[in-house]
Amino acid sequence: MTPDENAIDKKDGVIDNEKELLERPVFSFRLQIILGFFTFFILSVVVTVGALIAINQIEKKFSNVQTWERFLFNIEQARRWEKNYFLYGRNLEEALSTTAEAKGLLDENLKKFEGSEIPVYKETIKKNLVLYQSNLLKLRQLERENPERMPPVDDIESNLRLYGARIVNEAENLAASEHEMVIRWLQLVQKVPAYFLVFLFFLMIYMTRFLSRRFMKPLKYLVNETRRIAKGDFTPVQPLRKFRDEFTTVEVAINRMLRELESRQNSLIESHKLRAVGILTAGVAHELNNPINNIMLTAHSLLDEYDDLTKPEHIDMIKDIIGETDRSRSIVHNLLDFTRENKSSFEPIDLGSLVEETTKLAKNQARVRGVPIKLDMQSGLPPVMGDRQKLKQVFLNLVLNALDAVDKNGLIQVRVRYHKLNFLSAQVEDNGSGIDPDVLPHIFDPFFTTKPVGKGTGLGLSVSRGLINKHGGNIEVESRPGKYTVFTVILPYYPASPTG
Amino acid sequence: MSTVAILSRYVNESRKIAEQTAFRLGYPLVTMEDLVKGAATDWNVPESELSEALRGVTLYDQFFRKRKMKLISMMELKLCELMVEKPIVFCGYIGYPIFREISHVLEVLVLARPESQEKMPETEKGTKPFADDKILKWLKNIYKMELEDPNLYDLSINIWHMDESEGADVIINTLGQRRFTPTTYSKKVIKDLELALRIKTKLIEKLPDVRVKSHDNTAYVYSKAFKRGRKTAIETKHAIMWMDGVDYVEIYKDPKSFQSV
Amino acid sequence: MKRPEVLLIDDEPIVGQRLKTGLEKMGCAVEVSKDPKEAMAWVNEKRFDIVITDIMMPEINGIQLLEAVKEINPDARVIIITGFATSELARESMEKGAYDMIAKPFKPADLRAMVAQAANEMGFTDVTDGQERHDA
Repeated sequence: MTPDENAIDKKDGVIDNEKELLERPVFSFRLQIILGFFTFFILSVVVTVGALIAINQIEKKFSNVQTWERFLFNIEQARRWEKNYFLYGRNLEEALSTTAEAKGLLDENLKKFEGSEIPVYKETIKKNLVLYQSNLLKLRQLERENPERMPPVDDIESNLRLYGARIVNEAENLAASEHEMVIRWLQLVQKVPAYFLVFLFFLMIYMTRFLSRRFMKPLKYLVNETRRIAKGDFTPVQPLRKFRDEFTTVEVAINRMLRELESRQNSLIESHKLRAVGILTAGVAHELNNPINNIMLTAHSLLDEYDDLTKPEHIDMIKDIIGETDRSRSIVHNLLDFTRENKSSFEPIDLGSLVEETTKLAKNQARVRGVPIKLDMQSGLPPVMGDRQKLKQVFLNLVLNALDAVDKNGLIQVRVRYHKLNFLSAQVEDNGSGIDPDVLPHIFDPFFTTKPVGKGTGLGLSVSRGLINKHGGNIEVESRPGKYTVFTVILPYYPASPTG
Repeated sequence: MSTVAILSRYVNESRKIAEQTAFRLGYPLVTMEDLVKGAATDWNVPESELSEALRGVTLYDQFFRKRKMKLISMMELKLCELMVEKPIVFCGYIGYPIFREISHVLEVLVLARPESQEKMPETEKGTKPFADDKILKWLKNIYKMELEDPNLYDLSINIWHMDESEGADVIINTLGQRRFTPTTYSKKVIKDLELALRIKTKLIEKLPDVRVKSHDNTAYVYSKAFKRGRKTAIETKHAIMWMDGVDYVEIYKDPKSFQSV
Repeated sequence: MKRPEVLLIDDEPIVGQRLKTGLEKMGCAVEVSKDPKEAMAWVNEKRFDIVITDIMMPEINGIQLLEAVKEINPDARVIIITGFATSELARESMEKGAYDMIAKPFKPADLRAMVAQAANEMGFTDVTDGQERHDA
């Protein structure tokens, strides 16, 4: 696969990435916050409803207790009438009526008590009451049958005493247990809010920590990512989570921005190229004057002195004209080659001659400043795979920067040679002002410049490094203030037998 | 040998200095009226139309801007022709783009105002210099230049405290500097400019944004219109290739590459 | 007959080769150099009447040469030939004492005319530009 296809794939990859990101299930922070608060709300509702129910229960229990007390009062009254009957032979009717009253009360409320916590007693109490009443009724019947003389009623009396005592006992028990229930409910109503508050407190701490961590982690991640991007690495940001949240939107936006940045950078490279060409054409146009002048002078000399010159001299002069015409053509060609906007294509390149051609482009600038450029090319180097235009731009930038750095006694040395392993190196060294050690680590940062606005001539070093990195190489810098600066471009060379 | 160009909005004061200078140098004085007359004869246009083009920047003027630019170009050409012939003293406000190209033109700005904010002596009636502020507007509109920016000139004279003979002294002394000596090169530049202006005058009505340069009988022409179609470019080429002094024509549609010519 | 001493400096060797004969025919004694350092040394040891120099040259530029020539022989006429002609350069050269300036490309006849005029002004009345030439 050629690097071009790679680039296309990568671009598609970015779009896929964006699509995929946007298709993920939504679990936004908004939703998370809403969920958090909703939990609080539900809890509060539960607690409130619970409290209402409890109060209702207490109210009910309280009325139960009252009912039992009334019942108990009736029974006790009946027992008192019953006692009177056995002592003084009267008040049997009253005993019966209070018993009936108690029974009515029981019947009336039994429905209410159904499903209550203490069912067994009620059945027995009812049974006992019925037995008690039936004994009383039996007593009355006996009295009616024998108005003068009452047969002995000891068994009935003992029965009545037994059942009466049982009823009283049970009713007391019931009342007591109902009372106990009321107290228990009350205790509950007292305790629950306290527990709830403690629970709420911990829940809040948890929610705060949880949510803030959920915020902080992606924020930190994004901060680190932006640092990476600031270094000129435009690979898209990968999201932290599987679902979509607000950070996904930010990530998508950043990725869009990255693509925009990359395309901007490309057009920046183009515009920088044009600017460099603007600087160069001024020089080149003038440089053309030299060969043209030579042609003009030679042609005029031929015309003026034709008869005085020998044939070999004629030939020499014509050869001069041809040579100078060739020189003009190559000056123009070199510039056109640099300006030509072809799509980036990787091809095997002889690094030495590419660097030499590039240096020629800057020759005029160098001459204007009176700075010699010395070339030192190792011969027989293998070719590198690369984009001719882009590499030329990088080297031109380095040479123009070097020219800016030196003064009148400047010297620029350009070397191309073997580097370590499978790499070639091209060095541009100047004996200029050098780079301040404080500044040195930042010179490859985007937007970094030491030149006043609008003065920068070439491509930024960050862009240069980006281009070289795309070639699988790197740019390194070494500098001593006041002494020298060396930029070393390292590029992998291409094996003699291409592997595709 | 060198030419003096005096630019000012103080018409009367600068005129007096120019007269003095010309008289003492023995050069002919060229004024705006001379350019109007010259161009009127050369191109057979009424003088009134030419003088009108040198004034005002009203909406009406803007409407006929193409015609106006042609008239101005005619007068610039006249100025350039006069400069090719012999050294002159020019007094007026036209032709700034020509002067700056030529190393042997001394560009003089004449001011007539107090140095500081000192009060104008109103008692002496008639001494208050008349400033034609329309000139400022006109220059801004036509050349996009600030008339009274001293950085644009080789010499600025304030005649508030100076009479015209002193002003002429300063000019003649400055002109004596070797740097204003004409060279073979600078004389060639005027000739190139003259040809370029001749071509520009011919083209400007059709191509209002036209820019023309010339070197050694080759004309270089730029206009945005060439980007739109080949036809305009070819027509333009045909229009000028038969002109006197034109050997070759190069058409540019990119302002940057035109600039580097 | 006194002949003006002419020095021609241009790092383009063809310039010297082509102009030398023509200038000699006019009656000048011509030295040609394509190395401004060498020329600078010559200027320091010999008095030249007319110096023709390029501006843009490696290590020493034409302005430096002009200054050196004018310092040794203020009467010398220095003609500047340059492919980088600008109005500013013209003014700078003239201010530093140049006699004239011409932009490349130029016709040999133009330069010869300039040399002839300079020589005549200096009193070398025998120098003429009136040699027979085909019209270009």
